[in-house]
Amino acid sequence: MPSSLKTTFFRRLNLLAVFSALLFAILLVRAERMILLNDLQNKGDSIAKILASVTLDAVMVHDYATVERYVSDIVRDPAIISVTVRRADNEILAKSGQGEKKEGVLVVTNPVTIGNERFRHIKISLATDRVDSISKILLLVTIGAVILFHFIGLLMSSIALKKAVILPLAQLNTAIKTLRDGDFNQQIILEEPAEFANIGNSFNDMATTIRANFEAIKRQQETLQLEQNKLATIVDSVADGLFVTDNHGVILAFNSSATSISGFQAKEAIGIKCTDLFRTTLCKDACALNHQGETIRNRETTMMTKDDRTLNVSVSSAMLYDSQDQAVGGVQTFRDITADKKRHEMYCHTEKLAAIGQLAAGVAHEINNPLSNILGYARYIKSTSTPDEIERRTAVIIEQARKCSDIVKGLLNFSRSSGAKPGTFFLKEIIVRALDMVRYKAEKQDTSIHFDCHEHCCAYADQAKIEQVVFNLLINALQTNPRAQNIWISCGQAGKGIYFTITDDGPGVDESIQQKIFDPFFTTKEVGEGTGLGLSICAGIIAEADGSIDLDNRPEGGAIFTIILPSSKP
Amino acid sequence: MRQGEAELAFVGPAPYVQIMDKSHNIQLLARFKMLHEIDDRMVIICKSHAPFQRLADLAGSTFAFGDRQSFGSHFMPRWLLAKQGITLPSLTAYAFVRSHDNVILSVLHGDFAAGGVRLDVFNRYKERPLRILAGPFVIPPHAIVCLSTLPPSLKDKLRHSLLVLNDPKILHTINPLMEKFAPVSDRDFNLARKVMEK
Repeated sequence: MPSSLKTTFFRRLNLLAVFSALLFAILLVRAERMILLNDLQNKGDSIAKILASVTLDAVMVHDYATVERYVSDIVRDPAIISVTVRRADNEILAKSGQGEKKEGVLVVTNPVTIGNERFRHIKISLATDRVDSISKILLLVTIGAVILFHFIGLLMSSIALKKAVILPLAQLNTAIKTLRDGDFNQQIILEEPAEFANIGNSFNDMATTIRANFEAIKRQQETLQLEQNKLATIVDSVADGLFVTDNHGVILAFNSSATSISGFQAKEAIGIKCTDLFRTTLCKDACALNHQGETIRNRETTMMTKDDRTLNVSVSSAMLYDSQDQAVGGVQTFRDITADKKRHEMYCHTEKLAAIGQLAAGVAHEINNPLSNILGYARYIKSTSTPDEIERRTAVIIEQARKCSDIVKGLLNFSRSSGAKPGTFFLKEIIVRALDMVRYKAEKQDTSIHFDCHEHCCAYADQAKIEQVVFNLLINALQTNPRAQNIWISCGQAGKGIYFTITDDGPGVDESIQQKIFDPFFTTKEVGEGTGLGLSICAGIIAEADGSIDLDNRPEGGAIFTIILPSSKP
Repeated sequence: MRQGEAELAFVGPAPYVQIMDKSHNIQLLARFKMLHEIDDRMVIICKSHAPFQRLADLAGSTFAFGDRQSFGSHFMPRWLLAKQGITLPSLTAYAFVRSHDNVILSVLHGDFAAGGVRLDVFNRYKERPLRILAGPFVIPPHAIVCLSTLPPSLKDKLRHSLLVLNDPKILHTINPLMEKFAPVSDRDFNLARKVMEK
């Protein structure tokens, strides 16, 4: 247990006081002893001088008895141990008193001179016993007095310390404990000493500040709680599935839509790694954590439900950061687009069939010509042909029949639903195929198609779908701009991707409808001439391929469709 | 006493003889009697290692006398020296050092080669390195005298009082070695008269 202020203070004060008392007593005793010894020395000197004078007078008249009597009388003083008067040759003239002592003796000597000649000298041994005795008594009295005053001082200091320090500290301590227990209205009133009064005022200010801060924090907590509740409600009520992971992909939160889509309950998902839960490349494909923190929007991938169904999902993902801007995890939303995807496929096929229907008349005419030729040549062979003519005309029949067959194959291929997957392909090849299908229509309305494309422009997407996009855009250009005399097709590299443009010199697209032109069922054609899904499907295909499609008007007139596609797998 | 200012006096042999033989106005009451009559003797002393064997050896040396009126330390030693043919002028030096003690101490400290002192005084210094060169010689006593003009009855009472005084406390205050007061007569001072003759 730590020692109290009082104990510490008085322990040190006691040590200081005892040390001071001893030092003071020793110094006092030493000073007093020096004074007493000095007095004794003066006394000895005085006696020695008087004795020297008497000795001088006595010796001059051979009155040695007087010297001896003087010496005897002097020694009667208890402070004087012995007195010796010697001649210059050291012979004793008079001596009285005890023998020589080595300790407790103060020796005083004085010469007896005539002029400058020293012919006697006096030695007086003075006892310092009395000085020692007085010193001891003085030491004891001093120590006693100091101890007495010390205890009185301790008592007074204790009272003063208690009043000036202990009680204010106790009051302050009580106030702090009360404050700690939550009573922020605690106030201290300390009038003196001034230092504690200042501390008390500071404490009161601190309590006021704490109270204000606490109330502010409380309000903030309430606001935060409300916001959290709102956010939880929003998160839980959004139609998309949402889950939050830490930096290691371990799921921390899982909303009810996620449960609805995946079949996993939140308690089953939380604590499990994303990859282990969904058992597909969802996390690898579409979690920002796996893409250097890049925010991902509507990336299509797959996930496995609890009952082992594979769903197509569109995933968006972003990183979560703490207040120090350190990544702490990611948030992912996903939407089940399996049905949308099937519907989209159906739309595409429908649109394709519609396009085929639109081509049907042209195709029929296209096929009719070779068939007429075939029929004419066949009749001609039957009636008039020589063997050489038969061979030449049969070759024509075969060529015309193959041409019909190619046209029909092309239609069949185009009308067939594609089961292809994304891959890398040369853009020029699919543009050429699309051109072959619309060339007749272009020639019929006297529109020139100019094609300029680099041989090695590669795109990464679903090849059949991109071919459908090119076809749709060309048909759109021919149908909506029958007056267009030229259509330009160009392609090339665009950064990490490739682009291709389809430009016409028709009237262009009015700015008021440019924003709507990619909306489903929006059309400028007459009723029955179009489904209104063509450009919408094109936009969906391009978005699915992580590309973009834009529409602008040419300054000289006409529209420009610009498509950008990735050239490699993202 | 000669001028009548005192009626009683303690006197040695020399003053008594001088006053008595000159004015006859004093009268003996009693004499001091010390233990072993030690005060009735005097000696000539020298230092223990002094080369003197007899008084005659002191010729040409130095000598300390006590008071000029002292019988034991002046008249008697001077008479003894004279008997050996040693007169004051024949001494190298001499001095009157005023007391028996000073005589002893002057000899002791080498101021003088020898000196004459009463035996009882010398005995107080017997532990000092001194020795008796000659003596002891008997000398007249010290005595209490009074004016002869006092009433006879008073003189008798005084004498009687002194002679019967035997309280040691009182006697010791006079002299620690004092035994009593004893009767004395003028004849006891004849030796003094002889010595003090010119």
